[in-house]
Amino acid sequence: MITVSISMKDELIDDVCGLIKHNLGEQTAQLYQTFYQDKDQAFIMTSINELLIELVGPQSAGRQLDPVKQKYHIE
Amino acid sequence: MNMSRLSVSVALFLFFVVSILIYGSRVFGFELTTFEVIFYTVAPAIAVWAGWFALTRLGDRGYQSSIILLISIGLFSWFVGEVLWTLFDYVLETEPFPSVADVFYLLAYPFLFIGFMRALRLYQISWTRMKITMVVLLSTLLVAAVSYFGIYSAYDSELSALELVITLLYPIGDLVLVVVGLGILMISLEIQKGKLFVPWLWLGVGMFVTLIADLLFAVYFVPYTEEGGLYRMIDLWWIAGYLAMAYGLYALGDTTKQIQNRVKKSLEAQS
Repeated sequence: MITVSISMKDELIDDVCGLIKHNLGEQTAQLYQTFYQDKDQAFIMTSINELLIELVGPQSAGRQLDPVKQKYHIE
Repeated sequence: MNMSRLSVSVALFLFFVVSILIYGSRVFGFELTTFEVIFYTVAPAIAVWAGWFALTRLGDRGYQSSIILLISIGLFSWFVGEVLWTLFDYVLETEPFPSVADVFYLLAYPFLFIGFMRALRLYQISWTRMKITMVVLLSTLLVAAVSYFGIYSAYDSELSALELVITLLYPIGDLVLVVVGLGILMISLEIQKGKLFVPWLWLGVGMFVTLIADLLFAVYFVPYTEEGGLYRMIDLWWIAGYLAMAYGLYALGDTTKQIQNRVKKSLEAQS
């Protein structure tokens, strides 16, 4: 169970950092990849939501984040 | 606005003010041609530098990086075109049209177009009725202007086949600019509450100002190339376009830098 949970978190970090890479490039995504390593899922989702809203506003942020939310069944 | 962005804004503004003063001296009968040539070729170089700055912050992967890379290649192509045109026109004093400079001018359009297509894919514009109406009205107006001034008025039966093809390729490039400019305007509206709004807005402004410059050049082609004089002040529109795009690219790189620094601080605080 723990292994599955860790691999899912890694996958979530990869997906979220993929969004960061598309908006702010690979260098920023790598920094966030390190930053998220010891953070839980709720923190990661709040952080990426805030970052995307800061960058592209709520509408575009929502559209970019929706596929990730659907994939991990996050409200 | 942080100090580095403020410094760049002031520097770009002063560059444009000095450009106006240099070109404006024509009103009083002076022709500071050497300075005009320097400022005219340095403006696209600044835009290329700004693109390089943004790319050093973004890295070489991801949508945004590829968009900025394509726009920067397009701007570099224009820069080479401007340098070659200036070389032929002022240094070698030969006819710059048609020449290899045209190849570089025209080469920029496909890069800008592909870059814009990728931007559309990244930001996924939600098409409201208001946005569609705005795009239809503006594109009809701009396409009509480009078609009339760039194709109909520019047609000259005395041109050679090569000159005619190149003459007609420019308005096609301008139609690409219409699409790119309107697309960037729509992207800006889409992200207007975010920090990336400012960079994209200035990129869009730069595209539209360049389009205006191209239209003025098409309308006043003969007096611009044969008489010079006050008609050379059309150059100021191109300079303004390059500076606007330079600011947009710099602002994008600077925003990325600020966020990177913020994460670095958090990582340092953790360790």
